[in-house]
Amino acid sequence: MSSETRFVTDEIQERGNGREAELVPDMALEHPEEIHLPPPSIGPIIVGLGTMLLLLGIIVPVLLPIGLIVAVLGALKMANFEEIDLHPQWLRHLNDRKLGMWIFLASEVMFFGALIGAFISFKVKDGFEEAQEILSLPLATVGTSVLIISSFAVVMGLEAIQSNDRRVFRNWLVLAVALGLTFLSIQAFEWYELMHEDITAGTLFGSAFYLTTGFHGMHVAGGVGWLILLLLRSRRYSASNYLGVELFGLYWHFVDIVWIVLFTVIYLIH
Amino acid sequence: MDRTLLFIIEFWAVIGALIGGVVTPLVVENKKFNEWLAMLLGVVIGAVGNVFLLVPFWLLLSRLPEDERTPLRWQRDAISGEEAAQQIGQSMPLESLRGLSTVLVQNFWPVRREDHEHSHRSTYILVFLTLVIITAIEVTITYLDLPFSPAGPLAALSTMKVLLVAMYFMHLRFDSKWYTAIFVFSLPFAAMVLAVLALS
Repeated sequence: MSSETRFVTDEIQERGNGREAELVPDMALEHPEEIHLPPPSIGPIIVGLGTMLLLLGIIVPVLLPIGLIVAVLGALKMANFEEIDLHPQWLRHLNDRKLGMWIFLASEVMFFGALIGAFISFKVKDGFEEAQEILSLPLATVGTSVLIISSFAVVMGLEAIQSNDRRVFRNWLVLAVALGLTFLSIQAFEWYELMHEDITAGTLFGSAFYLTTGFHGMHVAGGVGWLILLLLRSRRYSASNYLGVELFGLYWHFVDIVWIVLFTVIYLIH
Repeated sequence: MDRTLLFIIEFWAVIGALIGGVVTPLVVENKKFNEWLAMLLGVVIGAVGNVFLLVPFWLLLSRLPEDERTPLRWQRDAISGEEAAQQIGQSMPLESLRGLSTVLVQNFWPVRREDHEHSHRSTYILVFLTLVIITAIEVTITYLDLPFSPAGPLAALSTMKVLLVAMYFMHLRFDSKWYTAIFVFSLPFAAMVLAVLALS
């Protein structure tokens, strides 16, 4: 390694350490003047714009790739955000970022509640007998196990970073990425098989099945993207700054919970 | 290029060839295409394509920032089974198993913490094993020919799994009760939607 590159890495190292020191909440409370507020970011606006273009792409297909590129660029810009925990005077024992995450998860409960409710009510009316014959329970069992193992991998990654062991933390996260992608490919195979059997979104079972598993799959895909961001940002996390990992864990376990319910409703109960 | 890396890449290519060989004949099944030719093509595409798939992964790894705990080049961390066996002073082959366990522990078991009482790792493992066992029971119940409908027991077991994940993996057991309250608060609304849909 040349001396020039070494210099640059050292500088980043120093900057990173300084930033992490500012994030220790107790220090921030003792020395209020040391609270460092990051400047407003333009990233979310870019992501919003990209998402809008992406959705318009449903009508004008040309906009689809443009929107995707803009959204990814915005997300990469957002990936550089600094993690600041402000401690307001009210609700002191609650962390505001974690609170936000739980409120988001509560809204997700209602969202998936509606989807699963629709599936159950269709199932009660229609029976889905012949369609259910096509679904492969062994394959779905493998998928469920993969998702449960990935949940365990994320929780062990959190445990590792709380123990300040960043190398093990990264290994678990890489494992979780691989398992998430495995789950997605199993889902894709299942969809392909169903399409092969002429179960389209036009049928009652097809629309209910593709809607629920499709939304869950989108959540898994988003989670995998978030995981990769965590991996790229992993140097920022340490035993004194692990909230970002914990928040991701909450999301990932929630996706796991949704799949546990979906697995029971779709595959197990006939 | 060191031998361990070469072996891993070979292994990866063979896996790709296997997947390609199995999947491609299925894909071209009812098109007019010789399935043996398709299998051969799948093997070649799988083997080559899988190696190419490694490129983004390699880019990711080479871009991971460097610090004292995590050297940039993963080869510095990774040790082969033989090396691990040598490290514990034994030779192959029975000891290669022990070497494997050494590699696993080195790469997947976090270092000891100073504050042992806040460490939940044994709880996590216990919860994970329980989840696996419950899933196995659920699938077995589905295959059995029970005289009654298995819907009730299955729902109960799944609820147990959901509770385990929420309480231990999502730390609701150890965190402030307010988080639980917010999460539980949404359940009546979800139930309401469910009831409306079921009655419609």
